[in-house]
Amino acid sequence: MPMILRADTPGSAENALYMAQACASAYKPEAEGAAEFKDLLGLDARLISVDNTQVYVCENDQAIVLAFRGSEAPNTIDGFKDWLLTNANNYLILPEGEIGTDFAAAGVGARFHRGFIEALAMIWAPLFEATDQAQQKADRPLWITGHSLGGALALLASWRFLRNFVSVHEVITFGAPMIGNAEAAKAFETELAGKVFRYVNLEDPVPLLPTVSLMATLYSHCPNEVALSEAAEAASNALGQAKAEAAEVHDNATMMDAVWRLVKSNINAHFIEHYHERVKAKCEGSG
Amino acid sequence: MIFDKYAVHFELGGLLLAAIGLTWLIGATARRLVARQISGEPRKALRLGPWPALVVLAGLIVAALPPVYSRWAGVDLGPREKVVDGKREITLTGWDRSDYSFLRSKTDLVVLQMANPDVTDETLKSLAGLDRLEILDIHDTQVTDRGLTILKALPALSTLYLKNTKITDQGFRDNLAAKESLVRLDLTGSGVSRASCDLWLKAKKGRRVLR
Repeated sequence: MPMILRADTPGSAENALYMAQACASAYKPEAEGAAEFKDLLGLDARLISVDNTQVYVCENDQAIVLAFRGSEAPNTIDGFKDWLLTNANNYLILPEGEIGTDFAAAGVGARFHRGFIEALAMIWAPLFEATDQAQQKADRPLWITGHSLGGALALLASWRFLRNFVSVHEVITFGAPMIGNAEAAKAFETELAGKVFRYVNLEDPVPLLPTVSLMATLYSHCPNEVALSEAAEAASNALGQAKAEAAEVHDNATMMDAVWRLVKSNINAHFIEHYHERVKAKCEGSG
Repeated sequence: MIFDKYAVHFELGGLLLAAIGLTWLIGATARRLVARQISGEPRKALRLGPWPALVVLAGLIVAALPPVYSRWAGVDLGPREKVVDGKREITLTGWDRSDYSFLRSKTDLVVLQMANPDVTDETLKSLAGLDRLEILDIHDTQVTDRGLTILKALPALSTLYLKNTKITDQGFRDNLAAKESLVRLDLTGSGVSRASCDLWLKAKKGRRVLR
């Protein structure tokens, strides 16, 4: 029985769970991904792919959902390109060209992450056409979601849709990095008031990125941030275990192990599966 | 500013230069150490000369120029003027100036974004002669129905952002509803009624409205 998306419960954990699944499926190649969207989420999906940016455009009678694929692991060609060409292109700029017109509306002082802007510019034409057509065919709430890089693209895309007269219902992201400076964040906060929900695992380092660009200029986040942490019981178990381990640390090797485990757990906290689990726990907790 | 486009060239170029200098430094040191061993004078000064170290320093300075400049210069809040696909665009939203009269002279202006709280019906008078203006963004300004009378006369106006302005349903019906050239409107948070919007949408194919 596929999950249901409800437009009348803004910011609900159930909707977030739906989107977490959408983000996980967005990493799959088209045949597998489309099947997952259909079976698990009740959506007809197709993949739009331009260079190393991908987004699934999905719809059913109740909604249109855009799920941006995040950065893939850097040990694949796509992942390597994601990290080197997009994520590492860490400069805060005033975009040029047609995309520049849409983002200049945020104000002369607004600056955006160059890599993310270029990724969005690449995919915009087919994405806008598909989404606009879907909304013209049957007016339905538009949901935009993404994990990590996908989350950054989802946020930027939602601004661009509004500027182009396509209304956006809600934007839900997981582990997304910052996309612009303080001016940009403020403009987004005003324009997308109440529509954005950024889910952030407390241990995940990616939402703290980039913070500062390669030109030493500063980034900012926009609201609303929804912090996810270990469920209380699991947390106290982990604490108990850490205490026991601390008692055992008596040489460098064990300390290195402990540090490595911490680093690994922070990296793990970024994966979409981890977000999926935490959101699920949140649903069950509030149910 | 040169750094906006070429920051990465400066940074990578500078680091490359520093790496070259470092390699030179290491190589020169190694050679002299070996020569010193062979010559049997372990206390003799190495005498590397300043150049390798200077190259390293030069590389680091070049690499540091973009971030240091951008910290010092801060973000420029002057008007943004560009020509995109042959169309002149000006953005004044969030700028640090207050005199809009210069817009009068921009007769080929196609896109204007001035969503500032100090923009009033008076400000719109500076747009009176702009017969190529297609896109105008005046959301969250003090524009009222009075200002709409000026916009009514702009022949090319197709896209208008009036979000959160005090225009009324009557003002819309009197000035904008019959304007043929208008195709896209953002009327969110304004006084325009749903009925007026629906009528407007039906009057011409391809129209879009946000409310």
